[in-house]
Parts: sequence; C-alpha cells; structure tokens
Amino acid sequence: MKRAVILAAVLTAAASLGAQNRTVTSDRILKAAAEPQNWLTYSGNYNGQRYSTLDQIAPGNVKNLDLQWVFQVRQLGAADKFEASPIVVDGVMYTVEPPNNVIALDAVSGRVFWRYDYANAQAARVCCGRVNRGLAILGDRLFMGTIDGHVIALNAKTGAVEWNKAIDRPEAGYSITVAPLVVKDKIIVGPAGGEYGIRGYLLALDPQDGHEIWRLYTIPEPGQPGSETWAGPSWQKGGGPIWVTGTYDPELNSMYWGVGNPGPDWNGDGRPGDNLYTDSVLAIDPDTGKMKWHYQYTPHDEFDFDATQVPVLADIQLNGQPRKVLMQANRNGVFYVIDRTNGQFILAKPFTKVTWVNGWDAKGRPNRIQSPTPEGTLVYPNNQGATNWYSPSFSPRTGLFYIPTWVDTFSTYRKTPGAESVRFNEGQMYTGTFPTMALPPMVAGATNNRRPQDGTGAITAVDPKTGDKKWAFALPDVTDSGILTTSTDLLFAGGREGYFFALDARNGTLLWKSMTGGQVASGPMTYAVNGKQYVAVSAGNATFVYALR
Amino acid sequence: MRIHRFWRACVARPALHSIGVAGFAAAVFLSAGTPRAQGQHGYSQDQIDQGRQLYESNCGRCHNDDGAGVTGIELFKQIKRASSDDDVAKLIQTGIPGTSMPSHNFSTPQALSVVAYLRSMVGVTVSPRPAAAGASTIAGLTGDAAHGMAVFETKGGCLTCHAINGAGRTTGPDLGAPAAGGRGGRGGRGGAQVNAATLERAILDPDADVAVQYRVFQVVTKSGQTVRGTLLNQDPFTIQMRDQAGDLRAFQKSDLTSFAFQPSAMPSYRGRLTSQELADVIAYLLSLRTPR
Repeated sequence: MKRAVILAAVLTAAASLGAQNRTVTSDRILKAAAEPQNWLTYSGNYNGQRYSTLDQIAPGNVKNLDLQWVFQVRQLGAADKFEASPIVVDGVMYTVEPPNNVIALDAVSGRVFWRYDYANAQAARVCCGRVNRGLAILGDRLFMGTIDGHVIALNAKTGAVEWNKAIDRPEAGYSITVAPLVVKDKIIVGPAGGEYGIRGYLLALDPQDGHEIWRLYTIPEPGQPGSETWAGPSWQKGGGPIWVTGTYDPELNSMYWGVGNPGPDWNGDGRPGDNLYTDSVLAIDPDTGKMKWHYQYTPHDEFDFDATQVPVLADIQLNGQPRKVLMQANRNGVFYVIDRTNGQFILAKPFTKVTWVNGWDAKGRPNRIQSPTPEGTLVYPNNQGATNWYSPSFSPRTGLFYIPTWVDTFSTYRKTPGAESVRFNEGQMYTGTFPTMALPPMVAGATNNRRPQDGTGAITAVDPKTGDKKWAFALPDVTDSGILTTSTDLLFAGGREGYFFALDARNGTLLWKSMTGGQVASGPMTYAVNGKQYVAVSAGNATFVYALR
Repeated sequence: MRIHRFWRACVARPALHSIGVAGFAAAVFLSAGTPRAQGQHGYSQDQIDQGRQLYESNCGRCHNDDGAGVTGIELFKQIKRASSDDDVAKLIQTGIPGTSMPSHNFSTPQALSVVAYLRSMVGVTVSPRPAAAGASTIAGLTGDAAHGMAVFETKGGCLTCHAINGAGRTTGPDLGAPAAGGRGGRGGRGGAQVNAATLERAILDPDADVAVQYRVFQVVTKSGQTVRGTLLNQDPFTIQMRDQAGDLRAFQKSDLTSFAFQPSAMPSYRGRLTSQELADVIAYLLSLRTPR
C-alpha cells in the first residue's frame, strides 16, 4: 500500500515535470488564452482582465473548495505585504517572497523545487513597504526587479542567476516593484520612487543580457512635447514612477502603461502646469518605445492619485458600435473608458464618493475643484485612493468591470504654500505634508472597530457602457485584494479581514468563503495541473491554494 | 456633510495652555505645528519643527500622522527598540534589518530633530479631519472660566454624566483628567483631545465623533435578545464585542436582525446654552487642562 502511494506520487510528479520542458516562447505568451491551465503574465493575459476560462470550479460546486496547500514566506517586515501574483507554467509556480526572493514550487503540492535569495543593498529606499508584485518569464528565464533598482534574470529550472543588471541608483530612490512585462523579445520595466524626486521612465531590456534597447521618460525634458507643462527645473525631480504592470494589444501593437504621481506629491507650487505625463495612461509602440498617445486623468495632481492602476483592455459594444476600449478604475475614485486606438475620452464616472472634481469637458479634462491648503482640505477619496494597485477584473461574459473599492474614505491635505517649503535632499522623501487619514493606510490593524463614516470597502461591479454601479459586495474594512473572474461567472477576491471569498459575478451573491488569517494584498489567480483547477491567493505571510475536494 | 463641518482642529493636544476663547481658531491653527514638551528633552522649537517636517514627508506614509500606522507600533507612546534619544536617532538612520524600517539618509542633527518631534507628540491625539474656518459660533467671544464652571454645574447639568476632580458621575468621559485615558484609536477623539474647537463641536454636535471607549454598539439577535457594549472587531460575517457586563461576545451577522453604533448619549447643547455660556464652559474646561 505504502509503495503504491509512492509510485502514484512519482507518476504524478513525472507527469508535471514532463510538461515542464516546454519553453515559454513569446508566441505562447501572445496566445496565453489558449492555455488557461497556465498563468504566464502578471494579469494572466496581455489584456489585463484577470479573467480565466478554466471552468471546473463553478457556482454549483464552489462550496466544495478546499485548502490544498499553504506556502509560508520566511520573514515579512511589519509594513511589508505579500503582493506578488504568482505565474504558473506547466505545473510549476514561480513567486516572489518579499522583498526579492524567488521560489519555484510544485503547483500541486506546494513543495519547493528551488529558492533564490537576494540581498538588497542597504541603500534601497521604498515609500511603502518592501514589496514586489511578481515575475515575468520568457524562454527559460524569469525576470525580477528589485527594490535596490536591479533587474535579475534567473534560470527557471535551476534558479541560477543568468544576469543581474543595475538599472538605476537605489540611494536616489529608484526601486523596482513592478512585475516586468514581456512583449515579443523585450522585457519592459520601470522604476518606482515617486516619493523621492525621481524622473520616471519605461525601459525595454534585452532578455539575453539585460542591455537597454530603448527608454521612454515619463517626464519630457525641455524642448520635448509636454515639457511646457513643467516650470523651470521641476521636471528633473518630477516623479512619474512605474509600479504596476501594463497591458498590450498585439493587433494595434500598442502597450498601455499607467504612470504614477508627480513630485512633490502634495505640494505642486514648484511645478505649475499639468505635469505631463504623470497620472496618465500612455500608449506605446513596444518596438521603438515611441508614445502614440496619452490621456491624463489628474492634471497637476496634489493628492498623490497616480494612474498606475491596471489599464484593462476589452472590445465592447458602445451605443451599438463595437469599440476597442481601455478601462481604468483610477485611484482618484473615477472609472474611465477610453478608445485605445487613439486615446479619445469616452466616459468618466465616480465609483464612490469623490469631491475633487465636478465634471469633465468633451476631451476628458477634469474640472478640479479642490487643492491642499494650509488649514487642510477634506477630500474624498483618501490619499490611499478609492482603489489602488489591486488588480481589477473584467468579465467578457457578464460585461462587468470589477473594482476593489475603498468606499467613502477621506483625507485632509495640507500644504505650506510655496515651492521652497518642500526641500529636496537626494534619497530623502520629497513629498510635502503627508495627508491625514482615518484608516490605517498600508497594513491592516488587528481589529476594526471603526465607524462606517470613517470609510468602508466593497467589491464593486460597474457597467462600462454607462459607468453605473450594478452591484456591490460590502466589506466593513477596505480591501487591498485584487479580483479574479472566470468563465463560470465566479469572482474571487478578499479583504483586510483575511477572508478569501467567491461571489456570483452576475449579482454579487456570496457563494463561498475561507478565513486565511492574514490581510489579502495580492491578486488571486487560477491554474490547472493534470486536469485539476486550482485558485491561489496570497494573504498575510502565505500563499493559499484551493481546489475542489 | 454634517459630520465634518464641525471638525476644526487638525491636531489637539492635552497641555494646551489656557487661551482666550477670542481668536482661538488662530491659536489652534498655529498650535498644529507647535506641540508641547519643549525643553522636556532639551529640544528647541526649531528642532521640533524641523523634525515635524521630516516626519511628515518621510515617516508618515507608514507610521501615519498619529504615529500608529504600523501595527503594534505607537511612536508617540513608546519606541520599543530603543530608549535613549541617541539610540532612536541611530535607529532612524540605519533602519532595522529584517523589517520594513529602511535606513534614512539623515544627518545626526536631522535624525535627532525627528526624535524631538516624536517626544513632543507624546499624549497628543491627531484628528483625521481638517479645520473648517468660520464654523464656530463663539468666535470673537472671551470665555470666563469661573462663570463657565457655574454653567457646567447648574444650567448645563453636566455633572449628571461627567466627573471633574472626583465630583459628578463617570458615565461619560472624566473631564478633569489630564491626558490620561489613552488614545481613542483612529477615527476616535481619544482621551487626550482638548482644544476650544473640538470642545465646541463635542458640546454642540456630540455625535459627530465619539471616543472609541464611549461608543455604544448594539446588536439585536433574531431570537430577540439585545446586547449593548463596545465593538472590538468586525468583518463581513462576524462581530466581536465586549458587552456591558464585561463579557466577550461574538456573533454571526446572519444571526442578527440589526447591528449598529448607537447615537451618543450626550445631548446637543445647541440652543440650550447661549454662545457666551458656551464660550465660558469651554474656557472652564480648558482651564482644567492647564498644567499646575
């Protein structure tokens, strides 16, 4: 009996290892939808929908989901979060233990094949916890950015370093937290550091040796288009970081990346103007790095709203016409629909309480009605945003866009007027006055005894045709969880309380829940091995993997 | 928004010296950047101010502006990893390996100024809501503390629920206690808030914010049982509370017909006191906080 069990285990292992030999070509990534058992990119697919056609788990049986395995990370600092979306290739899960240790796991058992430990330089500066959002894969190489500003290529079979390239100076606040995006034969990454007076950019690296192929600054220098939106030398420290993975439309050959906040975050007196291309989404030719168009969500941002949220691509019917759109639920509290062929503004509608804007002109320019003041300006949403880097989801089946929502939160923004009130010292934060918030901004407290008027959370379903809210699943606390939807109309998400749950994507009905005991601060994903579908999510200090019992 | 209209001060402090009610708003705004405890550790106000600027732009993102943004750490109460000011400054400079606390590119005087600011904030409660100039009904009035005491004890009937120096009852907060009572937690006024603006709002609009320990939470079960107490925790599916007998109680929300915070037991004195009487009561209450 014992021998039979061992034999079966060996056969199972052999089956998954046998499949492991297939290399991940760029063509496979392009056609990722054809192999839903794998999860080959940050969002699972180039379109950023975080939607899977795996259909073994369905509303009728989701109540039978059972914990299969847990992988616990070795150490997590008090402000760190386990934000990585794993990727899964032919039975092997690759993930990043914060801040920059890479683990290859058997996706069936959770047992470790190999691990790679990286020691970041002491000089690394991070605004918001030592986090990493995941890996990219191409060929037999994994690619990871580090918080000390390196990009590292690892052999996917052994974990051996193939190259390690210093991208920028960590002591000046350049860190990399984003999961890189592979497009054709290039690795696309960019630096975080919007709180340190960096000048952001997107980079295309050669996967063979990491050399730079092109660079697109998110902030133009004098003489370039958009430079007129910066005063004096402010562009040099203007921010515009990259820290959430973009999307790609192969048909249009356009990448879409959201750009972060201008610096200093909360005092724009030294940078009068719109401050392009901060708080914007950029359409970029991946071959050349040339910008095709931009749309700026929050001109002259003084609220640190960013625009890094995943730009989700879909083809939908609008007014009876098929449209190629880009949808974004922005940290500023507004849901946007944009024509991704040309950047034309289609729709903007708040998905929670928003006080900073009271309308948009025909081109989509917001009419901003609030700014920080010396005595304090109360603004909805709060500084952490009505949503943030947490992946949204779009289901082509329901036609709904799902947003991890911070409901009716507020911050008080104060500034001492004048550019001179924010001094720049390299490697120190260059932000102005941190806004006041009623909620723990980064990591949940152990308890939630707050009143509803201090802000709550929800999973919100929005109809992109109108921007109207279709349903909301209320949470007493805010959520840092991403959302996964499937072709069986299931929606998976979690919250700060530690629940991971499944809703009916059509109406928000709760179908299943599991208590992980830790804050969910990652995007759930799904994969299959040997015909069995799994759902994975990281929460607290661990990754939890479920399947039908 | 009814709730935030009356919020006035960004930062309330326990040891605010007695101030004339006239012009109090300006005093409150100024005081937002001038915490107490100058000299307690030999720091100058300039050092504290520099430290505040450094704190707000470098530390607040994680530690929040109330010093309690990282679970288990309350910088304005106690710094567990170091005790002497020099050690804290060094810790700020080097960071704490193996945690999220990064090193900081601060000179030693800069790091010490942050320590100066942290020390100055001991016992201070930070409100998440902003000042709202012009909302005061007592601007321009000068309060008479002695008359305020009379109003407090007679017309106001405040001793029915509040104690001052042992007199009165303790249903509500003990208004004679100095900064004791600890923090109220986020979104709460806590035990430490005292300034003219927050007192005015607390008297006129007592339900706008209630310190955590005085918030009454009530659940009604499907079987008809009503339980009141202090909400300790909640999530989408469950509630944890301490009932009025002191027992820990947990409920499934699906077993309840209702659950909610109850309105403050304190009545509004809007229209029950004249503006001058209100100014007098506030002057009286502030005088109780004056260090003696």
